[in-house]
Amino acid sequence: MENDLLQNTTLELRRGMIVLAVLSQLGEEQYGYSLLKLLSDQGLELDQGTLYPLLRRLEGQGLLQSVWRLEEARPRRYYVISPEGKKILAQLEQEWQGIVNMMAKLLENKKG
Amino acid sequence: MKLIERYIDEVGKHLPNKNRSDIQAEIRSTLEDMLEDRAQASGQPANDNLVKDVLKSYGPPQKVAASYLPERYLIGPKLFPIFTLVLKIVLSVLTGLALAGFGVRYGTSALTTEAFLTTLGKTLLDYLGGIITAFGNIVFIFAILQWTLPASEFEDEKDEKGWDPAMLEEEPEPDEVRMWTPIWEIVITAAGLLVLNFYPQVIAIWSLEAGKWTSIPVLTDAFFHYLPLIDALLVLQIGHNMILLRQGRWTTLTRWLEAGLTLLSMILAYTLLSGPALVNLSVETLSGVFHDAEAASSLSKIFNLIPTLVLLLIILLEGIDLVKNIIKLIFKHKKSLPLLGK
Repeated sequence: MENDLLQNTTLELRRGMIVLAVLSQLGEEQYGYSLLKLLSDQGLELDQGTLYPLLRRLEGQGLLQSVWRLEEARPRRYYVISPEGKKILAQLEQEWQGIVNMMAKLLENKKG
Repeated sequence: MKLIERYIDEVGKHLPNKNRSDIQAEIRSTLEDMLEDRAQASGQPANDNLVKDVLKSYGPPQKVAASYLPERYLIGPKLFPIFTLVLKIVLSVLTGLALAGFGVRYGTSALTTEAFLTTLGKTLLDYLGGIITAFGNIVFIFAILQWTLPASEFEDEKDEKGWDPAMLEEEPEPDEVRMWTPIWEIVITAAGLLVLNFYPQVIAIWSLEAGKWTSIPVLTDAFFHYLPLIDALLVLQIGHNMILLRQGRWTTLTRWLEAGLTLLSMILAYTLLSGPALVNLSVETLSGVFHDAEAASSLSKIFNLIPTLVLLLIILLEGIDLVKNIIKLIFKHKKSLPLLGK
């Protein structure tokens, strides 16, 4: 019960920052699987069921662009951040810094 | 590799036509990448066991497909409040119709306990059937609306811009007594007491014959036999209303008093219903007034039926009132529980 609660709360906590993490890594073209590994190498483990639909959603919102390329006899869809996505990323980065500072202050002054 | 194709086909079955092939191509590409990775890591060429491992870690096809779809509702959260409102209105109308139907059915039956139970059973069955049909139809209509109307149609302007906290002040408190209700009830009950005890002759069939008013008394001796009980109940109701008027709000005590009085009213109504006739207007008596045997016969039936219908209606309405009051008492009790812990 306690573990479930912790797991769910942790998931909720991470959910909000995934968009920022993904946008931050798409300054250069990546296909889904390579992005998954790139994030994993830096400590962010995501499953395909979360990443792929998110990539499509971000593309639908105009924050990413994608193109199919034939590589090693295998078609791969490459994603890259769009100009609109870059603007949003800059604002999200600022927002993120604000959240980190605010949380650091809150946790430092936590009561009880 | 056939397994991968089968897996992709299975995922495709749960995807919309529009994006299906695109999503399938992307999943295929990823699965092949994953397979290649695992084959390299294990130092063996791709085989069926590795494919199964990859598919197992990718997840059940239906779940994978679901992750690409927006959340779907039969009736979404935006429509749900309107849905419940319509449901409440339709259910109230159906309940009203069932009560009226029960009164008419029983009123035109043999007026025995057996007829009462048979009519009650039939009415309940019809009511249940009506509720299920209405519920099904309403759900069907709202499901179509959910599917066909764009999401923007459900936006309620009041939710955002037009909403004003001042509107909360207009909402009556659930425990507040609206002053005119007990005053009105006291006046009506007192008038009833006055007429029944001091001017019962007023309750009669009046006719103007050759410029002179004549009357035929309606109430039987049986009615006057029960009058002290009716009086006692009416006096208690006046007392209850006076307490409400003085306190200005409903308390647990006044709600229990209300429930007790409602129960007493139901018992008294049932006693009157199962006892001798309270109204007696024979065909002969009415023929003297209406001078038409057929009209007198029909009117006699109607007049003699009225007390039964009124008493039945009292039992049913008071029954609903009693249930509502008890629910309010339980709800109030539950709400107050957390406070007890403080």
